[in-house]
Parts: sequence; C-alpha cells; structure tokens
Amino acid sequence: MQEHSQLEVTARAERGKNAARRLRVTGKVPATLYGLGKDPESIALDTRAMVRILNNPSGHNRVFDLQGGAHGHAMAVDWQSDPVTGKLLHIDMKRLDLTTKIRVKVAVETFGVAYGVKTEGGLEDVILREIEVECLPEDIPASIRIDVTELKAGESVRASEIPDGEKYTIASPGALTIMRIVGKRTLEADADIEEEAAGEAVVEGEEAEKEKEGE
Amino acid sequence: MLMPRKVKHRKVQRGNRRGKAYRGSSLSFGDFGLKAMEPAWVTDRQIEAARVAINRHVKRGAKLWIRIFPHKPVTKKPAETRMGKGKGAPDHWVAVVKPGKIMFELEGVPLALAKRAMELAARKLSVPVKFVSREGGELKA
Repeated sequence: MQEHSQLEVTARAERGKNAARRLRVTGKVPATLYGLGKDPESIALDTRAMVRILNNPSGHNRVFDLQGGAHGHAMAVDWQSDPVTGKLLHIDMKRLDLTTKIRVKVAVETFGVAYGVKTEGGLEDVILREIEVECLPEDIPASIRIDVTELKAGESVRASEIPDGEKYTIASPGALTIMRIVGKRTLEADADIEEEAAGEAVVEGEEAEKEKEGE
Repeated sequence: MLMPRKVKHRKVQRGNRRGKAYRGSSLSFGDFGLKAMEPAWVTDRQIEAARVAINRHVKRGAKLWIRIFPHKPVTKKPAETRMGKGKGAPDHWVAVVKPGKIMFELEGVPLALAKRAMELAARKLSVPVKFVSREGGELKA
C-alpha cells in the first residue's frame, strides 16, 4: 500500500508563460490543484522531488499531504514534459477525500519465466502495463504481480483472471488482455509477412488514374 | 520498401517541419526506443535499412515496432533537364519526423543487445537520435 508523503507547496500568484519560465529556472515546476468542488489553485512544486516520484512506475499513485501554500491531500493525475529534453513542464494535482473510493491505474508486474518462453522458445509480450483499480486513496497497491511460470505459447492473461485484493477491486473490463506468450512460429510468420508487405506495395489514386487517361 | 497502398494526390507540396513531436514522443509498446532529436525527412530506404539492421542484430526473438511511416511523396526532375515544364515525377517516399518522435521500439531483448541494435539502426538514418528505455525514466529535472 502507498505511503503518505509530505509535499511542500508554494502558492503561485503570477500566471502566463513568462512567469512559468522564470519559475522553472528557480528549480520549481508550475502546477494546478483542483477537485472536490473547490476553486482551482495555482501552486509551485519542487522539480527534482517530483521527477524522482513520477519516474517511479507507481509514483503517480502517491498520496501527498500538502503543506505550505495549500492544505489537504492530493495526487498527481497528469503532467506535461518536453518531448526532446524530457524536462518536466507542468503538473495537475487533484484533491482527494480519503474516505471516497477512486479509480487509479496501477502498474502490472510479471514474475517468473513462462513455460512457453523457457521450453517452447516463445516471447513474453506485455500488452497492458497498467490496470485500473478501484479503492480508497490510502489502499492503492504499489503494483499488481502476475505469476507467468505456467503459461504456454499462445496463452494469455486477461483482466478477469486477476483476483481482487483485500482492499481493492479490478475496475478494467475483464476481456482486456494484459500479456500473452507469443509462439516461435507466430514470431517467424509475423517477420515473413512484414518482409513480404514491404516488397509489394502498389500506389493508386484518382490523380494517377486521371493522368493515365490524359496520356 | 514501405509506401502507401493508395494516395489521393500523387504529388504534394513540401510543407514545414516546425515544432516538436508532442504525439508519439513516449514509449508506448516496447521497453526500448530510438528518439529523433532533430526534424528530418526519413526515407523509405532508411526505414527499411534500419529495420533490417535491428532484426539481423537481435537475430529474431524480439518484437519490433516501427512508429513512423513514409506517407509523403518526394518528386525529382530527370538529370540534365531545363527548369520549368512542371513538377518532376514521384521519386521516393519520406516520413516527416519532428524532434522527440519515437521512431522504433523494441521488446524482448536485454538492454545491451537493444542498445547495440539501435546504434546500428541509427547509422542508417539521416537524423541525430537518442536511445531511450523504460527503466531510465523519461522525465528530467
């Protein structure tokens, strides 16, 4: 289960991109705090601390105890980063009521070497890396572990096969495939199809037809 | 070679390559990826050469995703032709790549093997690239 961590926030009076850029230079990241029917607040957070938390696969599910410029409990629900440098640009924080159940995405971890990989030469193909879970904010699991040791080639694990925990229920649709073991033969067939497709594409089009007629 | 099966117009204008790739800039399928750091036109031949380089190095058993597609036709006038007399004939196809775009993703191989395969693929491309992995963390301070 997630641990509470205290987060020092400062209220942000200035708005706009110039002010946001000045703020980022000082090692802070602009953020907004909203939810629970209250007015949204503009706040600033420490960039290094937030990067360390958000780079962790289960970090975004951490419940923060806000201190300083804002009070209450909150969670980082969305964030923006620069596509080239990867620098954190902005964070959306959502206020939480610790007595109300919420839906969050939790990381899925597989453990063990599947029979289909070890003996049949297949490949473990992870399709969904996160699964939706419904629980109280304090009961969010760090990750959901799936044992794959008995899976053979062609077999898969669906969301409906994951049992509910003591304090959480799986909220994703049961038909969703989380991971599968791809057989060696399928892998080779896929590669052959790709090679064939790459060699025989044809271009057609209205313009091409018109030009042919014109000639 | 990759190319569209059917197009509405055989020849198109060059367009622009301004801005960054705000879509397709994070790993979506695999554990490792190759990210473009500058804007470029990546040709169908380059994509194919990179794909072959990766597949030969990992010797199958890995899963590869190509996340760019050469949708754009490039025309060329014949050699020793005077200017004018209309636009040249379609010559090849390119993918318009903006900085930040993840071009290839790989799964099912160890880090060192994936890194080397991506290095070999990078040599086939006309754009500076960066190797990215899920474990490395995508955010920076």
